[in-house]
Amino acid sequence: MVNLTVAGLIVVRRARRLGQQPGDSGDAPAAAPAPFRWNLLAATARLIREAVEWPVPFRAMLGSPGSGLVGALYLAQFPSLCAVRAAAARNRRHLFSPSSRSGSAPGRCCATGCCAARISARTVPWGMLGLALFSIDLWLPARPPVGGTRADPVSAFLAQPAGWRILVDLFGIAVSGRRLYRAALRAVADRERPAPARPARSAPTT
Amino acid sequence: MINAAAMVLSAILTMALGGGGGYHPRQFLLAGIASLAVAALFWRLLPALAAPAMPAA
Repeated sequence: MVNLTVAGLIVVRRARRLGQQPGDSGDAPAAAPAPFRWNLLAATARLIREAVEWPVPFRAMLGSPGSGLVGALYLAQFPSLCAVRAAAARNRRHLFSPSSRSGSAPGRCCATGCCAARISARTVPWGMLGLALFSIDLWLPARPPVGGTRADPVSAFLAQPAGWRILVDLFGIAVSGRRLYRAALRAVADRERPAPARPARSAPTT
Repeated sequence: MINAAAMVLSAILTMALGGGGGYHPRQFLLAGIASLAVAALFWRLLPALAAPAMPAA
């Protein structure tokens, strides 16, 4: 833990040094933050009115929560899916979670083009198509078994082809929805944002 | 805010489709079919979205 903390401090110091402009001491005060707007609804309405004038980032902004919408819908079904398809209450969460979360890394590689380190909006429809196909494919093995629900232990779940199919589908949904689709849309919104609102140094994807 | 609104909408949709809770795997199917329509929409929008690829940070 101490090693990680020290390593983090070193990385932060080096990043700050790299980020300094020539002749910049690094101690200059940052620009004053904008005042906080307490009326969130009015502020949001104003931001949306401004965003409508920029069709491309506005569409990207509207489309970006799409994967979150589908993801929240799936999350609501996950406990029941686990209960129906894999029992072992202590383990089932650990079974499904790595599959969906590990999809983020390869998805990010695909979205950024790995070697080329570039992001393209062309992955957006492919990401949504993948999300759709993996979701439809998930529907078949996710149905309760004939004869009522069966609470298999994890080992029995993994011994069935349907179990692996569920894990592959969750992985594919994570790759498609969270990275190929959402990361690319966020990058589009960031790229097309009006220049004054764009931060000086920002990571376009998360 | 839009993300949060999407989450709330998703919860309402889940409740509406679920009809009082329980396990409803057909929601995966419905979400997949709806995603197909969104994918088709984005294919139409792609020329507007796709500009020269940008360098990642």
